[in-house]
Amino acid sequence: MAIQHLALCVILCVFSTSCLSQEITDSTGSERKWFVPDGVVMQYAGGSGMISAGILYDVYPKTELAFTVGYTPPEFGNITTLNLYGSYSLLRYIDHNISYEFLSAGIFVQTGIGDNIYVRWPDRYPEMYYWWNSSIRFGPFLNSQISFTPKMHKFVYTAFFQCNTNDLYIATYYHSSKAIRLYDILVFGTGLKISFKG
Amino acid sequence: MKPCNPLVNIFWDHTSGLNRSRTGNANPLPSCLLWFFPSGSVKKGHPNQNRWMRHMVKTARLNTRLFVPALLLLAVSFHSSCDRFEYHSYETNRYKAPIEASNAYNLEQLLKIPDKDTLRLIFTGDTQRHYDDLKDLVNRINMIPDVDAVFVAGDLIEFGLSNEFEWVCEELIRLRAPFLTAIGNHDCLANGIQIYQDIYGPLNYSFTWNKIRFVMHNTNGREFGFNGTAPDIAWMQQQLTDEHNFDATIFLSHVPPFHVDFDENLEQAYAQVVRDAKNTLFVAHGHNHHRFISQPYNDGIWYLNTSSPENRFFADVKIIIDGNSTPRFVCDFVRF
Repeated sequence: MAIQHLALCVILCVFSTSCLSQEITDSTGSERKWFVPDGVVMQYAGGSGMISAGILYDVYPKTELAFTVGYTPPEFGNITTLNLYGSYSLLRYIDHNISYEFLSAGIFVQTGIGDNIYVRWPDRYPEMYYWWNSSIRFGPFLNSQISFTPKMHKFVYTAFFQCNTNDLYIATYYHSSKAIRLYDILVFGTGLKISFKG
Repeated sequence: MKPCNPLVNIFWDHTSGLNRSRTGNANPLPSCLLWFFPSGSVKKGHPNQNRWMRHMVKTARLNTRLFVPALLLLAVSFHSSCDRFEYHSYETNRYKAPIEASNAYNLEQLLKIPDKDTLRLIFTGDTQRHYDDLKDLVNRINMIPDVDAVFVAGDLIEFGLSNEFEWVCEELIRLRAPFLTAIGNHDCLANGIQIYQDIYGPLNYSFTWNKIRFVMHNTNGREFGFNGTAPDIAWMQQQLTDEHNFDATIFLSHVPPFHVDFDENLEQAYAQVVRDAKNTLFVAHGHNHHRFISQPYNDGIWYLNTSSPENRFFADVKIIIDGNSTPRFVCDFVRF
């Protein structure tokens, strides 16, 4: 099973980079269209799936949007997620071709798709039987990342570390701050981004 | 010219090759480290081999490029030491519960207790979302010296998060007495049933202890779409057929039969099973979060509703067994 995950990982990686090189040959000499993503992202863990992959947009200086699709294999619950992350860079230091982004903060929204996970609670439940939504999660996150821009390459390579929590964890922590530690409600993830220079 | 492995060129000595003989070794470092310690203005093939070292000494400062391997190392060691790399909130197979949490293990411990004439049982339930109160409850129960067993009437968790199962389980295994659980409607959310089964075991089970038959069952009809499987009436009847093996019966489940979340097609059948069982002492439930004991069907059967840790009460039941008459019970709601 682990080999299959690794294979999936490699395929996604190769696929995403080949997508990018396709785009750059298509748009040589001309401005990229607005809908063409500024990069791709691959993430491990972080509450969005064992592996999630998606596209990046730099909507504004220092502001980044990421849309990813995550996959969790059947032995861990068989959940697919759609995630939207918006982040703003708070602390950045650039040294030649390395950029250290010590801290960026943002919020994310996630939809989970899987057995017994519902965007609308099924009819068997009366109105407001459960007060929360079982599928849609949202919450804050912090990122820190290192970007590397090799001189002869078209791309910027970024490794990032993410720490997030979600609404249900916060609701639990609100009543149980003695029995559970703040660390227990944090979710860590890590990943790679490849984006266009400039 | 001696042929060279290309990997050597990449990782160790990029100057080995055509121009090597003319230039000598210009870089004092293997090429795999050159990115971290750049040789500045030293040209390939420059005869002065000490120039790189002088350059590094002159421009001595924090080498930011060393952050990269340091952070990588940190990340790897952090990942291996830390359990918070979570795939999804509803992830299964996440919490490897200790064997002490499972109902089978606790049952084994319970049956080791020699027969006695007074049993002291604690009934609680609905620990959901108020884990501080659960902590206090566990501490309070551990202060009672002669508790024989603790029964948790479902709704251990609130949202179906796999971490909630861990938090509750970590509290419950601190109980000194064996504890046994029934499943509640909140435990069925998302992947809850699977996680519950992995930690505690089957949803329906029964056992005899001190000649009392305990029937622990799943009554969360609404979670199963009122499909007639919760409660499993046929299974319950089957558990009560060998009447010569026990003198009295206690039922434990989450949703009481007179609640709207109970499958209303099975309500009368359920009440009948309870009525027909040999000397039913009482039927314990959670779900309402309030403490009460009543006879809703006016048939002499007591229905006991355990309070919840959130409401700071638990049910303290003493069962008196003497050989001559049938077992009796005394129920007390204790504030903590």
